[in-house]
Amino acid sequence: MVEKFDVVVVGAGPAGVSAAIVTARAGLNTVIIERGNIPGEKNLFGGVLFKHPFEKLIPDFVKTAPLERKVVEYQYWILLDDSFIKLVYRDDAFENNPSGYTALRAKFDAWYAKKAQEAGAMLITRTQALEPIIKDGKVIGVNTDRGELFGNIVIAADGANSLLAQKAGLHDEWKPHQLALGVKEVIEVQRTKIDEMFQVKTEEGVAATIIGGPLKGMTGGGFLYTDREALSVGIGVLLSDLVSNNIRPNKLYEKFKRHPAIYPYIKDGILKEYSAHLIPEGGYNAIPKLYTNGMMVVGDAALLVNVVGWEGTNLAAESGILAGETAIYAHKVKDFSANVLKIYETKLRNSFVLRDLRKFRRIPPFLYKNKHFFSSYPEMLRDILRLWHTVDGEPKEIKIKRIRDVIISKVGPIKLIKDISDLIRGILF
Amino acid sequence: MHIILCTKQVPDSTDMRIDPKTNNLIREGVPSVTNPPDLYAAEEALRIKEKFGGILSVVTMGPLQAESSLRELLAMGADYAYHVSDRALAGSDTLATSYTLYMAIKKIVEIHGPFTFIFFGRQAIDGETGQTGPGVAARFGIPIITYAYKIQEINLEEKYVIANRKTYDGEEIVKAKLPAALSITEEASKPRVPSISDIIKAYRAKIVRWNKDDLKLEDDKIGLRGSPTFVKRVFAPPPRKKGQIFDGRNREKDAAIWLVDNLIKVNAFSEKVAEKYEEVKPLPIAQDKTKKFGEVWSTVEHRYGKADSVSWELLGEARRLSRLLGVKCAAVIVGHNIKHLIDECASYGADKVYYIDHPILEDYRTEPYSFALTQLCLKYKPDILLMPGTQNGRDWAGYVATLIPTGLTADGTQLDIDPATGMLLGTRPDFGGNEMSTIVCPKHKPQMVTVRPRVMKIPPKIPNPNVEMIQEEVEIAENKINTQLLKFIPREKIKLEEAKIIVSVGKGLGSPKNLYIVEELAKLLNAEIGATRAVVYSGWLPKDRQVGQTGLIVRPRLYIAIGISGAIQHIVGMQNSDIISAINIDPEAPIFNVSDFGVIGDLFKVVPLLTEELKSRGIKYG
Repeated sequence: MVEKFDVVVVGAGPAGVSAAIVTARAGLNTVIIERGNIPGEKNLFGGVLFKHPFEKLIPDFVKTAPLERKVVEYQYWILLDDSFIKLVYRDDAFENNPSGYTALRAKFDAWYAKKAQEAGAMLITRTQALEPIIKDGKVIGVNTDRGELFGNIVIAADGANSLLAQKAGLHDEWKPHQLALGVKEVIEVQRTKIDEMFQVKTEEGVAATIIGGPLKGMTGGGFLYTDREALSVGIGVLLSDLVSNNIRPNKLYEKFKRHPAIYPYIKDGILKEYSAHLIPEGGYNAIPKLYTNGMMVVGDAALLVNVVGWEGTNLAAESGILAGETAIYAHKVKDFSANVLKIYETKLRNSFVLRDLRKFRRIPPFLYKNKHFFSSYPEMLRDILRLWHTVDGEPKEIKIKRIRDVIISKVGPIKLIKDISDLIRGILF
Repeated sequence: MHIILCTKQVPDSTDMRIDPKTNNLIREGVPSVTNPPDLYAAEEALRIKEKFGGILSVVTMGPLQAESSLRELLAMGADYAYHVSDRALAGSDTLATSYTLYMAIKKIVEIHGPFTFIFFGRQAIDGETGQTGPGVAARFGIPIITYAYKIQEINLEEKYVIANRKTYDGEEIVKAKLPAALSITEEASKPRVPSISDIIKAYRAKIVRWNKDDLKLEDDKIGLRGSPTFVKRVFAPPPRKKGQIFDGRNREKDAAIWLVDNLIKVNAFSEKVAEKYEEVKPLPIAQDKTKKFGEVWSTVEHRYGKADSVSWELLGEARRLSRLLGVKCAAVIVGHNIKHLIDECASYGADKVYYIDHPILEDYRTEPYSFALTQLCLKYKPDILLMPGTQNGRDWAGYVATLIPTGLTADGTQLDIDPATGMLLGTRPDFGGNEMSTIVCPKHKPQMVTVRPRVMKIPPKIPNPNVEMIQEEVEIAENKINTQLLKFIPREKIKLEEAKIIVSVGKGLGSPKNLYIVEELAKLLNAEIGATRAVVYSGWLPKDRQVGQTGLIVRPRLYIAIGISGAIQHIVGMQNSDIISAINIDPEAPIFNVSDFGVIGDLFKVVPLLTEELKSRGIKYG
């Protein structure tokens, strides 16, 4: 007779582990199954993670978690074929109270999963959940490649490639324009060299968001983050754009990293890790049903990724916490049906998770339809700056006329105003 | 029936990485796994348990983390798990480990009753000695069948087991009286994958933990104190010397000639033979009268009256070491009808030959051979004893080292004498050669080392008329011996690991239809064909041809890599070849970083021209 669990969490990433910590601490019999050999092995992100949900569960999170550097400086780079524009923002405020930290998944997830075990959750690795077990319209467990597992509640935290929610009928297969492919390298660079290159102290770091360059014309962006002794450099591009442009992601990545704005930082470094992963980018309107009888969906599996703020891990953790709380309540009232589990969605709606995604819901489709954002605008900006900075005796009147011409030819004043108003509407209101 | 399985937790070798700065193995963050060969041993043990009924107890000596391995074995079906853990056990070599396991097993027997079998994995993938099994068996005075891959028969009434085991020169079918120990190779049945309910049950199971006091272990027999050997130094292997590259694009014929010229120059097509005999001078410490060094011995491996060449490789090295110490070197022959080998020993440089000739020693068997060699060592007290690192050699060495008792270093690749102390420094590879360690045995004699075939050079023959012969007698009754060799089956085909020349192919070959290009070259050189993982996964060649981290580690005299780019996992498998040659169209291919002679060129042109050039020069292996 197989032991029946209270909560079965599928996936030992930040979403799943957060849920497991919550339920295990409440005394619920919790098991996490993970398909990798160790948690984090099958996971990947840029990335910067924001501490706020983790501190709720682990008060000394910042001191004990294997984080890389605290982000004290944010940069925004626009790359062009022959130039680049960088905006640098550093603030003392983040030195004392940083929001974000760079981290490496393999290290972080392995540590985080141990916290769930400390709370009493069982962790079974090398086991993949294939589909939910549904009886009388209720999810009562999962079928794994090693046998069946039963639980009152299943929390599907199986990430961007999630099959559980799909097989439970909560959504159809994701379309290529709802997924981005992220490719990154972790390049080892001496710690002191990083400190010097970015003018930071050893525990401090920089997070650069990058658009343009070889990515122009596609919806996507790149990043460069400082880890302790390495630089994480990568790109994320909509799958449909890779397909329609017939570009192989590794070739695109190679071009990207060799751009003169990026290459000098990494050229003497040593490649430590090369990896790729899917990122769900459908946005608010693509979010699937988040629960059904006996099951809740959290994290990337629920498409909870904020492409505007480039936040995913904190949304995942928060959704895990809220699903965990819901599971506790369901066990209190001994009702695991959708009627009770819908509390999870309500909590999510009241939290920053769905509120943020709803707020920026117009941005993903906007960017998808307006790829010129990633090409025309950068070009326009460069042309304007170039005109302005070419001081050669030509009267400024003429320069400014040229600038107007550039705006008109690149984008057109009407489109420019429309874009600005769309963006304002999308973000500020 | 009560079966005992000894297991060890080791770093996950598939996750091994080298720190590019220091060239050292990165150990932190490497997850630990159950020693993979132990899983095969567990599978055999479980099958026997299922057939005959009974219980399986597993025991491990290791840090707290090792508990997860015990749970894995419980999930597979073991009944009881015992964990011996104590800080005092840290630094244990195989002698101290076999003592600890011996004491633990005695206690397990008190709880669950006497055992019928003790199972071991073939060897641990980190230490790679394979000595613990023979050590434990020696302490219990039971026979051990090492390198067993198939258990043919178990008879509980007449109390015997018959198993097939692999040896260097073929296969033996051995019958052993019960209770017996066995070490199981990965050619045995594939280990079962536990179901999720098994894993959950194992998670909840109780594991008994013992410390040194629970087992009443004697302090001077455990940990560092109880270890005759200890690791003096760990270091990264020296990087291969940078090789030469010839750009053969549009000059394929020139490239072929260049390559053949160079390979001939370095004797790639013949064994590593020392050309002329060089006597080394004694170290200053040899004059120190207070030191009184004993002799340096090496054993002879033989079957059916013929000695294997590894015996001469070791004898040459024994002679060199003996000269450094200013003492005599001796060959040791244990067997029956072996007197004719004495002359051969003399011609390869033995000052003395000790031999025991007795019918009971007709075939190699662990117990009589070990009693005989132990008797010789205790009587004549040699300083150093070298033994072949073949399956039988290691089986023999592990048992003998425990009986004497003394320290044993496995797979020495480089031996030196410490000029300050006169001690033997045995350097050996860990983790498939990704790391080297130098081991010493300061307080015990003889200092024992096994050395694998083809590591040392075969010495040239020298005239040696005055060799001293010492015959010893041994008193062993046949009824006291617990094993019997039922049959020996000579090996049909050469295993890749023992090939002297390997011609290896990668995906650059394009299609399996093109294998004939390589087969011609291989046939000419009497070479074996190897392959990269990509080629094996594409089904062009079978898995037993795969060279690399998840395939075979090979050390041939000559390795020719054709159409292989040189992924690190492949390089790990062949980087210890004596001579490496590569042919690849891509000048940036990483394989050129490890090759001695690399040709940039189209393999479809170069390889046939190479074959032609070799034919025209009459080159054959030999």
